[in-house]
Amino acid sequence: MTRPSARRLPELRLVHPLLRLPAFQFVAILPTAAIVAVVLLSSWRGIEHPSFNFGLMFTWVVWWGALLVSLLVLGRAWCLVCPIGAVGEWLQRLSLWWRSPYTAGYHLRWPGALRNMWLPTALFVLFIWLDNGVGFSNSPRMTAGLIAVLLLGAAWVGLVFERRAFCRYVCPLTSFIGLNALLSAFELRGRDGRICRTLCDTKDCFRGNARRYGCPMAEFPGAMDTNLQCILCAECMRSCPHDNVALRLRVPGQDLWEMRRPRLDGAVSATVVVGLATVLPLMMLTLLPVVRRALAGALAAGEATRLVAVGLLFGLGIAASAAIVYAFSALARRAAGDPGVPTRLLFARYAYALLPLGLAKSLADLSDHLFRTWGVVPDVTRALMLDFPFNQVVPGRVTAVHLVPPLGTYLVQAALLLGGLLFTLYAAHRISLRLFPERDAAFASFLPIAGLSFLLTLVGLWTLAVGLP
Amino acid sequence: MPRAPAVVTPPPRRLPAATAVVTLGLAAATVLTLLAFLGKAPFAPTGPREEGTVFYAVPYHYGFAFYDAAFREIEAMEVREGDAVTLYIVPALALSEQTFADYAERTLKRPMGGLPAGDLRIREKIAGDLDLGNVEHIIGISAHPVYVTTDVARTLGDRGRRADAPPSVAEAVRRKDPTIRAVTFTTKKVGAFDVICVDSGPEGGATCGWGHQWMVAKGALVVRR
Amino acid sequence: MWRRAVALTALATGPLSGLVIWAVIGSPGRVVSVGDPPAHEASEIAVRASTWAFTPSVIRARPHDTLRFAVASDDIQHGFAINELGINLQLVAGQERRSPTVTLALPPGRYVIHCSVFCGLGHPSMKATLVVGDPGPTPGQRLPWIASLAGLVAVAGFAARARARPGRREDPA
Repeated sequence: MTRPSARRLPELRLVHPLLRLPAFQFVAILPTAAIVAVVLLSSWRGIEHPSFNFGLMFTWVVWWGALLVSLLVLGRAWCLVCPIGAVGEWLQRLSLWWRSPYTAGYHLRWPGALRNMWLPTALFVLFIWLDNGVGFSNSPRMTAGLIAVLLLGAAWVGLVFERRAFCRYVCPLTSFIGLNALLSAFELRGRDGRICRTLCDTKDCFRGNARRYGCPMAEFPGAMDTNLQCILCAECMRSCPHDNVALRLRVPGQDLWEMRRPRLDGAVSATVVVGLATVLPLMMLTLLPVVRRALAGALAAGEATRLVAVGLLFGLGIAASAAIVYAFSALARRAAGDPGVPTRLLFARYAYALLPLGLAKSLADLSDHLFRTWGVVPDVTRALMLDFPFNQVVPGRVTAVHLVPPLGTYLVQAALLLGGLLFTLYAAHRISLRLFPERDAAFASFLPIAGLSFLLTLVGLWTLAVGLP
Repeated sequence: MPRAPAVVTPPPRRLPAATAVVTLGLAAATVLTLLAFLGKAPFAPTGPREEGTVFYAVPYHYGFAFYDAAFREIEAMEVREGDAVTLYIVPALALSEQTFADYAERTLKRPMGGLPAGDLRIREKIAGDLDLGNVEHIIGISAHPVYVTTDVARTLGDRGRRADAPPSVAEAVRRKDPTIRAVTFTTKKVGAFDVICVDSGPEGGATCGWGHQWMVAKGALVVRR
Repeated sequence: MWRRAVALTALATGPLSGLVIWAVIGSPGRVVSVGDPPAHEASEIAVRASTWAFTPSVIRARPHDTLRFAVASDDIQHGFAINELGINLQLVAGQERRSPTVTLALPPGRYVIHCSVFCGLGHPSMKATLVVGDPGPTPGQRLPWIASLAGLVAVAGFAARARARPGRREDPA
């Protein structure tokens, strides 16, 4: 939906003919489907050495890194090409891209109580907890298991429920990707809302028509105001009879301050995403030995105790993140001196502003990993090519060369964090102007959030500085 | 702009038969995947099959010795392209103290780590690594699906040695010593391939200590047409 | 109104910021100094690795000290690596690994001990420091302070600019 305050940046008309091709998404998915197949095979059957297993390294270094970078530029571009969600859709539609007159599946409506981000956020936390508790990002077999579970899960959910219920309400990454897609420099939106409201009776972009399907994410593009659920499949563009959908450039992060109805579940999810990247590493660094010692008295030593300790700290870290953001939102309300604005509303708005910081911290973590273990990428590629696609051979010695020394890495990380801080400050400032018509009140409410942003940046800067020479 | 005529699009026709087929197919895929991960499906990763040409490899600090099926020592394992090979790995540390010392003396015969051949400091390095618990090796053959980690520590425990350790490879095999590991593979490429002690992590790292990076048997597997 | 907001923000953020910095660098019990071993023996430093920290996080030694590290992982796979000393131990839960004995023939300085096996979200932060001699302030010690100051300047500068500009009229929330 066109926003009155939107900066009118150009539409990417050159790309529109490509997006309108019926097979556009299928063609985009094909290469990733092939790669995922190789990844699955190599992590399931391949050599278990973490430096030589293509599936393992490609997933946790290359794919994760590309995902983080793509979020800032292209929003949910991964969802566009993800073969996992597509499997359920193909089974449901009985077609790969053409409009089929038939359908399989039970088409149940997704339960109302789960039509939110709570389940995917919980699954995201579970996924991170498992990784840290059990270490499956170091195990090719467990990585293969994770991919298999996701594939089967997506297929089953696609068979039982309507549209892409898995992608919207279940996928452990949907909240992480969707929230960070709010920072993107691109958007797919309706051009002119009046056409949708007054001229269009059929709402083909949502319902579909004889030629094309409706939005697989059950969004109504005519009223959609954020990238949160838009997987860029462009189905709406193909089905709209009024040519009223366009891909546009925009100011990055515009959704953060322009979304009309920021939801509480999204705000909590945003604090979880940011907290996992910032607060949690600090708590694990300082408190895990303490918690484990405390638990050792009550529980027998061993793996279970450690998992309980990690789980406790995860819970504490997430609760602490949400509590801090809520507390600063309360402070913002007090500073603004406007009792008419509930803290809950401020929390639901300002939490989104912290997303750039969370992404910046994730990119900072990734940069360290890349600079230290970049050599595994040629190693695993060599191993895979020697034994395609089963990846069972040893190619030789590990390439263990640090690309950038620790101080240089920290400079890159600090630059990323400070960039994220500025982005967050800008978003918080714009949000404050929306919340309070009075400029003084807006500025006063902005200041505590600026303080919170600085605090989270500090957490990132100091946890990354551990051990610097 | 004129209003578009209202068109009522009939929903896609549901095919119960297709739903049933997809449901059954998915159920089968789910069960098969579960079995595969539990190791019970036919295409699960398999262990050594004990077939084809048999060789024995003895990794020691910091080198390898190779034997044929009759326990004759050989310079290199020679096979033909397409042959199945079963390689038994008998860690030198699992053998008697004297036998291990004999193998370790071979390391002194070559220069290593900036030390000349015969330098007694190499012997000290070996002793130091044993003392530090750097007792395992990860045996790999370049371009082949051989990646085997020894596990002598579990058998030797804190004692460091067994009083009744087998004195030779042949005796260890005869006794089916628990430290022996086996791998079966099929040769696919012609050439000479190295047997190496593989780095243990993404940033290098060694399980056998100081001499790990020089623990390479160049061309120890020769595959002919 | 904004002065009150600044005061409230400073009151909330200041102590929390101090707590964060103290938690990372100053909590007691995380620094170990190499003692004087008996003659002809090396000092052995016990280190525990867990998700995602080494305990102790700071090891102080003198130049030419002879020492070795006895490292154990409390949980999953970790690594213990000091590039300058050529040490790279791969750790498996429950097993103690000892490094070779090394003599610290290094100039006074701070040397990074890092985890060399990817162990999850906090792997990049899983580092400790070997301090040899009395190196004085090093760039690594100054950098986080400088970066923090830069962050503070960024916040103050942005706030000043936001206050000074006429600002846009946003649609109400």
